[in-house]
Amino acid sequence: MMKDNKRHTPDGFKDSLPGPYQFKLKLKQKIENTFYLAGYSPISSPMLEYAEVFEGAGSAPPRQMYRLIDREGDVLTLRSDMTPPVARIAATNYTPADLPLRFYYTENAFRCHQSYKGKAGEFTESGVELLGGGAEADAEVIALAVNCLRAAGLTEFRVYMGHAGFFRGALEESGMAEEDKAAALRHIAGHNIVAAEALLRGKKLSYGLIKLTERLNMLTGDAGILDEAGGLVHNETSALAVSALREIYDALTDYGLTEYILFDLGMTGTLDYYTGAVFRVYARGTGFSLLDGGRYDNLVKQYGQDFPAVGFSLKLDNLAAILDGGEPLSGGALIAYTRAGRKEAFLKAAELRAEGIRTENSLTVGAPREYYEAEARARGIERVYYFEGGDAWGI
Amino acid sequence: MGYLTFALTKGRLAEDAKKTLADIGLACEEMKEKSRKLIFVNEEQRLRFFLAKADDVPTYVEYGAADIGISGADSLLEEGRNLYEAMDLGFGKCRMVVAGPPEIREKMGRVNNIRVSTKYPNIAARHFYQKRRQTAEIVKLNGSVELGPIVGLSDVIVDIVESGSTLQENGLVVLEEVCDISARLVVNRVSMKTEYDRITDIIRRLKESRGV
Repeated sequence: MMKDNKRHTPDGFKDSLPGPYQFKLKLKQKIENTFYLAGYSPISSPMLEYAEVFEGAGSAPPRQMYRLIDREGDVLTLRSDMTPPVARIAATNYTPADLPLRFYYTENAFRCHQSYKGKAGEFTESGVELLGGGAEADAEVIALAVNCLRAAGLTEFRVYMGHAGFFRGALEESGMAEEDKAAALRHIAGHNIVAAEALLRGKKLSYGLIKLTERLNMLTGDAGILDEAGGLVHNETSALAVSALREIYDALTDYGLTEYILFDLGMTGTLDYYTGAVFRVYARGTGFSLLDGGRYDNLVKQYGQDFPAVGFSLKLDNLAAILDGGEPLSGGALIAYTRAGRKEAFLKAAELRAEGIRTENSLTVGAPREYYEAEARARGIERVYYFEGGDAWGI
Repeated sequence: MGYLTFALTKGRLAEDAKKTLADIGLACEEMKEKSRKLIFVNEEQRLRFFLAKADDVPTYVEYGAADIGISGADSLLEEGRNLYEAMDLGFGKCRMVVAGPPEIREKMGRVNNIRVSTKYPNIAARHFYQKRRQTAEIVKLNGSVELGPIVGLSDVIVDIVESGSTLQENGLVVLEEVCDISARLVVNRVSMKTEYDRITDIIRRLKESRGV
């Protein structure tokens, strides 16, 4: 294919131009401020990690990882999400005495997708990880997810909660072979209800489990659905999952946020590292989830410390697209001058900037008044200050 | 109430899909006539319908451009999109098979880098690499794949067969089943949540009407 690569970005990658980028940064600021005020601390990690950091960490499938090889022959990978690096940082820099640890980040992550599928190869994630704690921590993180989206200006959205243990417990109870259990979980996580039902029917399983699988997709709704879900399972793991969700919901009631909360027991978490409650935010206006999170108690262990943990990441680009506020920048002041008025002009510019007014200098010296008025209009600037060396005039 | 948008597959599945939806009262007058219109609107029920090429239906649904789609399992398997596969609609039944000249049957497992021509390179690759554990050279064609073995482009083909008459007329036989194919109801991940009541009601009515 003839394509002048010198002029283009790779498929799945894009530039950010001032209007939309400024809007995205503003969202980031509002979201990070919410995290900061809740006691979370900023953290950053290298874009490149040893491939081992992500191996078995249940992040993106291996073929979606960008990999390269360094001079020593080690395989490096561009991070595909932030949770494994944050878990690594927590495990290698802190001890159990430091818990609870509260971190937040906004970083770009990378996935290598097939060409021309319209998927982003690089995307910005804002998120938090809370290490230490149980149901109280789950509720805190979910409340934070709601509050950061509200702070960003999103109004119409819902958090859907599920539990990784709910369906797994039912499968354990079934006595199926390990590979069939794994396949069933994969079908359910991949939303392939037809395949999951076909698999379980073929295994001559108990009526209860088949009924559950059929109903799984429908176990979506307000807290009342937990009663129905509890009645469909007869094993400890699933029962614990339901009671864990109730406990979190109780805490969210005291946060006053239940209007945002719904349940979806068919959600098991697409990333394998989830071990407890999982949650996702859906909003109209995008075909994809906005925010994904959950409890991952087995991940930090891989890096040497056994810390329980819960967190989420928010897809900042998707949020910016829904809120759609990428208008060009405007407002502020234009400073214009003749050679004689320059010193005074620069003083005025410094004064305006100290007041927090965005001020740019015209690069044309000594032009007539109409010229600067036109310049300001074209650039969306509200005010013009002109200095001739004698009296200043302003528009 | 917002529109609920349906993406239906053009061609083979279109008539059955329209009838299946009409059976539960989801249709509009315009759709019954032969028409060149691309999009049909039922204002009363706030429904929209459009027809798209088979392999594009999963794409429209994944991106939320359509809330619900009716798509062949072949397109879903090939495209591997992230969406709810909510129901087997039971029509448009056929089989995905490996086919070739009868004389290759004996040595198929021994052909080094067996050449496979197909419209479904992902399905073919999965079948040969994961199920047969055999290295294969996959050649993507856009139609009349039966030609592949006849003119010597490939050893075998992976394609869907209904009656098998096209294979027979060209001297090819079914060597192996890959999977069964039928039409599926697919739902966008977000629509499944934000339009939960309307969509689950449609699924329930479809299950009743089709007796599954």
